[in-house]
Amino acid sequence: MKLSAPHAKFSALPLGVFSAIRYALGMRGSTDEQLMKQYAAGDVSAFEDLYERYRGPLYRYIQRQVHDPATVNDLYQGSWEKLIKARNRYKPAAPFRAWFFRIAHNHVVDHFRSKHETEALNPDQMTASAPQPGEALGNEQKQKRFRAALQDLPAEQKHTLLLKIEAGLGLEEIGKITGVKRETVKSRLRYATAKLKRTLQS
Amino acid sequence: MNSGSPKNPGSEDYDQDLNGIESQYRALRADEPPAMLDQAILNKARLATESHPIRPWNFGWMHATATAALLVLGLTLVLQQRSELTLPPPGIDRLESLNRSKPVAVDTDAVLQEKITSSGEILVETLQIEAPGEFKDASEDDLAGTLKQSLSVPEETHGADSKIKVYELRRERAAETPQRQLLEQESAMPVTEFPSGAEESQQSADKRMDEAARTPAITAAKLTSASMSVIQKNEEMPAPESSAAGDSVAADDFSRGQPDPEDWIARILEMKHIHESEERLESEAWKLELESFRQTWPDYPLPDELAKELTGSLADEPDEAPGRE
Repeated sequence: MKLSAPHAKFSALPLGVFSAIRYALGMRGSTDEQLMKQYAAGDVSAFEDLYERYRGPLYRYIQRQVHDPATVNDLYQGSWEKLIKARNRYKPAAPFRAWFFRIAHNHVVDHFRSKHETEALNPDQMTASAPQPGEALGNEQKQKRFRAALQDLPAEQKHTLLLKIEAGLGLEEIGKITGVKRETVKSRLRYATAKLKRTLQS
Repeated sequence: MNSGSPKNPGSEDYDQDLNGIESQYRALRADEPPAMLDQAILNKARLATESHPIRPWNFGWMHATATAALLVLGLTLVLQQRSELTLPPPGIDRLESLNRSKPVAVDTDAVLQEKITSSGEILVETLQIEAPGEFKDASEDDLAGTLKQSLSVPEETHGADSKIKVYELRRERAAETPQRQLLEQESAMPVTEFPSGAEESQQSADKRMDEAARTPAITAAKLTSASMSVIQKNEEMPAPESSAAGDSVAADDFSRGQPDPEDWIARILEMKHIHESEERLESEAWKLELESFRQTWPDYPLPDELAKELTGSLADEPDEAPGRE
């Protein structure tokens, strides 16, 4: 899915060919750290590229933990606002992905602490994609069961598993974000994987 | 996905389980935020950069540097104005510079011989003139042209001023000659042959020359632009008021600034007052100036202060000017 902002860039191509060439050559080849540095220097287009890269993973990372769509949107928007405010404190030496998901993780944890939200996500409330006739029913049932099993995981295991699968972080980075040792992260992942496997096999 | 765990049967099972869970997770519907939320976040990011733009002129060091530069500039202007206020008036400054230049000019190559004839006229002759360097063979007009180019003097103000400039330039050039060389030139100075019928005047002129050598300050006052050029005049030299005085004498008047007797008297009074207050060695210069005035303007009424000094000096030297009646 393409964002409206990059589409607006390409729609404005006749107005600025050089900006389009810069977008195609410069931004596409830039790393996350370079884009964040450019945005901290005032380049809004760098932020648009960063947003395009991380909008899906961040949204799903929050959605798998919170069942209320409005809360998901609030947490999602709040995480990006925290990044915008902290743009001048970002140091390119640190990986942007770990830095950004740490912001989002802390934001979600703060939300849970304030709301004491322990309610698990009801799989029935989740919107399923339009099933195909025939095998579509089996896929939908599998997805509902998997989502329910994911929501039944303890919060620490769920955070760790989502940071591993959705954010693609390593054990060290997850340990720094969650504040635990590498072995603890590995143990949590092991427990979460075993539980999900048992649920899906049953 | 490899988690970096050691390769043992347990870890291999864990990696396989994790890969299976990840594939199941990827099979879930890829939910994405609504477009309105995307637009709101992008607008916030844009507003944040516009409300707090990072510009190089926002840095604090620019303000500090500009403030320091302003302070230094203001302090310099104040100090310069104070130094200008402490300077003496232009008139006094001119006299100071004139008095300062006189002893130096005496030590140059010019030795002046003044001769007072029986008719009360003054004869000023130069026995030897050694113009230094490049100005040795240059005429007054050439030097004036050089000065005009170097100083960019306007054409309309070039006439009389240029002669003064020529005089001052020659005096500066002459002042550069070492003292020893000047003494040698003075000792090797040839005797000027005067025209016949002037032996009596020649004796008195020699006498005045010896006196001038003893009192360099007095001789300095008589150093004129005419003495800086090689000029041989006749024994019967007309008075300055005569029309036959020539351009060199006119330049002399300009250099002294005494074309008008009233101005001349005022200048003499000013010199007298300054010299009395500062008690300088060359304080007799104003007396010589007064004598020159009296010889030029014999019948011009003098102020009591100067007339008294003039009569006193003449009484002290009854035999100095035998030709005077």
